[in-house]
Amino acid sequence: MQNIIEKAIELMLSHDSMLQNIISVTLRMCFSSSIVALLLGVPLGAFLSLAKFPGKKGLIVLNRTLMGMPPVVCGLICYILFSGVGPLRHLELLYTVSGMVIAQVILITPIVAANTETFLSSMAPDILETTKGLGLSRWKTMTLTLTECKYQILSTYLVGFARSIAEVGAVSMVGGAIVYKTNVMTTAIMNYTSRGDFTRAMSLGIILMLISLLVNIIVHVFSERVAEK
Amino acid sequence: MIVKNLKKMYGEKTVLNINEFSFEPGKIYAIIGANGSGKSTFLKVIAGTLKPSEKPEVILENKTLAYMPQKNYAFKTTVLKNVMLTAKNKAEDLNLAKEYLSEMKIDHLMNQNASKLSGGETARMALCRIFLSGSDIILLDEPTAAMDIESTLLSEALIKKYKKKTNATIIMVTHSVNQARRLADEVIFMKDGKILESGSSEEILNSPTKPETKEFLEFFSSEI
Repeated sequence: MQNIIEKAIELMLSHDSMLQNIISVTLRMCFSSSIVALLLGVPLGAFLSLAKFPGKKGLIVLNRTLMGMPPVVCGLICYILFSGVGPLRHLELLYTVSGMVIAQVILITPIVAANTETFLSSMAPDILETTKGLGLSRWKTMTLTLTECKYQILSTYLVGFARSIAEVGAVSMVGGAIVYKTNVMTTAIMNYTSRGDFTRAMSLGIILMLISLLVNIIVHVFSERVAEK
Repeated sequence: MIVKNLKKMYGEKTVLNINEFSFEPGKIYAIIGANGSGKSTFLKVIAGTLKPSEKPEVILENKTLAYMPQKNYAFKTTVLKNVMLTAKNKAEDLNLAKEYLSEMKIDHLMNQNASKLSGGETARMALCRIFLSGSDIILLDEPTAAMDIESTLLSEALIKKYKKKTNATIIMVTHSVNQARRLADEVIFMKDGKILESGSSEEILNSPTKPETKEFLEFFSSEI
């Protein structure tokens, strides 16, 4: 085990092109999917929290259910949609990073929306009562609310990013783990392990853990700041 | 300002039921009554922050209205910026904002983060904020509930000063009969969502006609 870890660190310090490509594809996919999920999930969460309409509770329950959607189910749905017999085949998304990003957006958006709905439900009533009482415009109210929730929004983004980088089921089905194209850290770890290349698998595992650690530290720091405010 | 048909129900329970009431300019109205009598609901429905059960009529006659809730929100920025939220002319209102903060004795906190203020300081800041709006009608829901005696008296002085300066109508909910005695020109006594008795402060507080009002005044007159 010690030998594998030593070799893994050596590999990480070398300029291995395949390793660099895997990390680059992973980060490209994660940043894209988490940002798109944030752009969709925050307005959706705000709508679920603030709007009053029939069936609101049902929609909240549905969103919370989608939070727990198994990644392989999401991968299967996307695979069917993008495959040669699927309705979206002409978009040629199967085995592409774009296809993987779409699958991840489907997985992460409900998480972002649910988090947004939760923190807005606790913060927005007091903010809205004050801004309405003071006769402030809708635009001013919106900018004030977003400013008040900036740490919660960032924290939600990082949760989405962490979910994205750790995900394997959907990306392996939609991306196919094609070397130098759609192979990301999680799928590569699986492939290297099945081939017995534990050094490469461990290198990626360490990098993945370091990125996860970094994300968690950032989430923790922001959570503390939110608690202090 | 004239308000008509203010009704609010929670299920079968009617918490507010006011057919018509008119407020005159340049007067301070104190709304008194026991817990659950509908005082806060009255203000919230006028302010539009609570959806009534039936469509109400609030005739403002081109006057502007501002409402200060019981729970004041302090935005996570400086105290001065919080107050300046209602400023119409940033340059002109800056001095007025500082003047209000000074009168409330929180001018030394103007550059501090408002979310770190105590409950009483937040209420004092909220009073400065609402008065800076320069509104013709000011609705205050227990503005001094979180304050100590000194802050309460400072707030009352500012409320009086604002009324004198702007001829505004000030409608405030209070639990303190003595505060109503010190501040109000007119007193409204509420019970079960209805206005049971209203009139000049002297009339209602010294010689009420309804037994419910008498009972309430006897019970609460010892409070500050």
